[in-house]
Amino acid sequence: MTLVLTEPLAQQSPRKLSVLNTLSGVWLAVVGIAALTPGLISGVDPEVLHPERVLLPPGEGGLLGTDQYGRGVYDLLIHGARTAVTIGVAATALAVLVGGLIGLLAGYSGGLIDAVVGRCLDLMLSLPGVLLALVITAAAGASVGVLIISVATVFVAGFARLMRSQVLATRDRLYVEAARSVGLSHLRILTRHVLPNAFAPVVVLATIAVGEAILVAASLSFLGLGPKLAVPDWGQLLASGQPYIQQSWWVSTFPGIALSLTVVAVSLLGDRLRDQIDG
Amino acid sequence: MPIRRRLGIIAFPAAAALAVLSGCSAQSSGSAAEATPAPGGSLTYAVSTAFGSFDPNVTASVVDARVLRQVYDSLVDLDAEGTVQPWLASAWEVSDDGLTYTFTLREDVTFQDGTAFDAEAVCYNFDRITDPATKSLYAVSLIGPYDSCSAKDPATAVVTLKNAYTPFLTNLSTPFLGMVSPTAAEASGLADFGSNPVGSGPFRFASYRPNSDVVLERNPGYNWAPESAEHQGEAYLEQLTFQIIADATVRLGSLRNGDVQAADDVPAQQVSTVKQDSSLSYLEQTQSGATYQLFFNTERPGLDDPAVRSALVKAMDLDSAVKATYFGAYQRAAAPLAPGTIGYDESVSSGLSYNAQAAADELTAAGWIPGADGVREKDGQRLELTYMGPSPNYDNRQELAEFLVQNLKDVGVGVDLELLPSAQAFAMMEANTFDIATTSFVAVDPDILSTLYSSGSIFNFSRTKAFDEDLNQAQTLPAGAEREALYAQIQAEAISGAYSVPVYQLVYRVATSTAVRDIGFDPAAYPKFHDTYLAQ
Repeated sequence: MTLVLTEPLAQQSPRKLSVLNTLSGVWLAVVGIAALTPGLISGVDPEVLHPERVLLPPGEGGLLGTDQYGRGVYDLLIHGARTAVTIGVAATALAVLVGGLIGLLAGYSGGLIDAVVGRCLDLMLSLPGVLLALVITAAAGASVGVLIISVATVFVAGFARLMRSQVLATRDRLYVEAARSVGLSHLRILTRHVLPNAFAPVVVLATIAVGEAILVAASLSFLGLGPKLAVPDWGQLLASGQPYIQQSWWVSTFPGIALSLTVVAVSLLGDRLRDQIDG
Repeated sequence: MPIRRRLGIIAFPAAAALAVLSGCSAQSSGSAAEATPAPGGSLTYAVSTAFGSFDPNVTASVVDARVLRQVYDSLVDLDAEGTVQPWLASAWEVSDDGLTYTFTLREDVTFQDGTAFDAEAVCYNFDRITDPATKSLYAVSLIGPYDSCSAKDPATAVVTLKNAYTPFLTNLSTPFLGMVSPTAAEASGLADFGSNPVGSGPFRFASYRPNSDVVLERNPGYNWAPESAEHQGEAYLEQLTFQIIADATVRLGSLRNGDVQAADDVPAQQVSTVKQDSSLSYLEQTQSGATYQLFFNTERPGLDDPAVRSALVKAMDLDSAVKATYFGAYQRAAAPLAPGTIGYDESVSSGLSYNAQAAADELTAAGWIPGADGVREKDGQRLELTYMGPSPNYDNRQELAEFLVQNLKDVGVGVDLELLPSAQAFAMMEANTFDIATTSFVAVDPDILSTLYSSGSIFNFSRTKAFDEDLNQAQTLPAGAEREALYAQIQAEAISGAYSVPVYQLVYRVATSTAVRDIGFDPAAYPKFHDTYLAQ
């Protein structure tokens, strides 16, 4: 007899493969490839400036034109994907890890610990997320590492809350009590019985959070708190093209489109994941 | 003689305000048809930056000076050739030792509050500037070694200096030494005079809403414009409003939709669009003073060797960088002084040219050999420089810096571009941890070079002590060929010794609706609205 007792998985609905979902998948695949091996789709070093070819329109200046440094906007987008994906995924992972752990402990132990942690989370949630990230980045200095940490901070409380509520919902279930009654350790109960049931909603939230994290990171970068010029970045590109937008619309427009598409695609993916899990 | 420290130039690292000389007359690209000046109408002039104070004796801001010039008249006027001309002072005499200035004053001038302008008023102004309680940021440095002033009779003021100081007379032409009404200044007190200015200029103050606008109205009975003015008598415009619109896009948008009739600080990238727009006129005026330069800190490792500095100058493709950054709106600068400034000499930089290969060879010859990662090393010291740039971006100077940084990296020099807000920039200046810094100044007298190269100045980014003696001497030499030659020599040595390299010339750029005519500019590019009128 196995001691792994779980609720029956929700009945999965037939897959709704809409055109939108397919397009989202294709776009995310492109972004993923660009992030992993930018050299594959753009052979140009985006760090090299070309004073002789600044602000050339699409066509004359390559597929998507050039920016005020003479760099191809296409190449910058491809190479900037890595920054976006890295920060989006790493910040979310960090938030899931830290937030999940906090929620798990608070929910499982209950009592005073839960009350204190709960109020602290309320406090964090009462602060506007972007502002929080802004303060941290401004104080710690802009770099990819700091960006990841500050963006993760924005999402920690959300994940902790979610995890805590999932744990509260399962910790008094019969199968958990059964596990407790046979004398399993807290660690084993948590990892084998409580966590697996709390996992699904967290995965859904994490998927959506990746999109939001990319957006928050881009916002910080737009405000000048992103990586330096040498590291291509969508948010920074969006900002640096702004003074030129009346003459050279392409510098800001394409990064804006790339950013929007990515965030929308990730959201759609999250939506679909939720549909699948919820049935 | 001690070198005067020129602190308090608050507009750093943007163009700060100092003194000058001649300037080219403004060029207009508008094909405006001839019109006859007619009195009346109101003009709204959009400016990019908020105002600080309208007390000329206190402020140091270039932006404030654009309003000050309308409200206050100066003792003397500086014409486009850089010659000092009469204004409120109809004549003057300088003693042979350069210590005593005797001004003969116009007797028909009254301040906007009815107070008579006389020798007592002139002396009041100088004493007010030098009174420590006034906390003058800039005017006090313009009058240098001022000692005392006495009113011999109502029309004769005698100013005594502690030592000869030739820039004194030229500096008197700036708005920062415009004459304030003693009655009004006393009545308002120091705290309030800055928002209730009273001078003798063609426009008088009407109202001020901080961060929004300042409204001036025609000064009735004004009849003491300098010779350089197109007409005598009252200003044509009935009302003149300076409206603050920080965003360049909004500023030009407001001009195009008619909310304002003129907008300044046209971004370089918009100049060609504005020039092509038949509904707009475009005006530009080179600002006298010091051009935008890049300075090498000679107290830093590596840069203490003139051969290294000289190689770095050769490594930078300044022509391409200026062209790529400003799209032809700015010209490459040929000298530390701007054209139109006394002592300007374009030949001082004749030996400079871009040659990356020669730069690399010279660095190698100086003992700096590329290491494993391409960055040059000598005796275990890496050639890594900190380039201090402005933040927020001003005048596209960040873009310019990025191009130059790439040039330097190409020859094996590591560069860390630090874009710093002014408080942090000042901290880095104090700590002396920067290698490359840049600045420019608006000024009327070539003595601005003291700010750039004398060891007592905080803006002496090259930290050189080589020019103290020459700069001191040039301050005391009487105006003329000998003084100009000395300034040319100082500039030539600053460039040949690679203490600094001139990058671009500052140009004040204004777009107006085609109905706006005859906005004048003084050599420092402060606008003058006395002759301005609206064509019907």
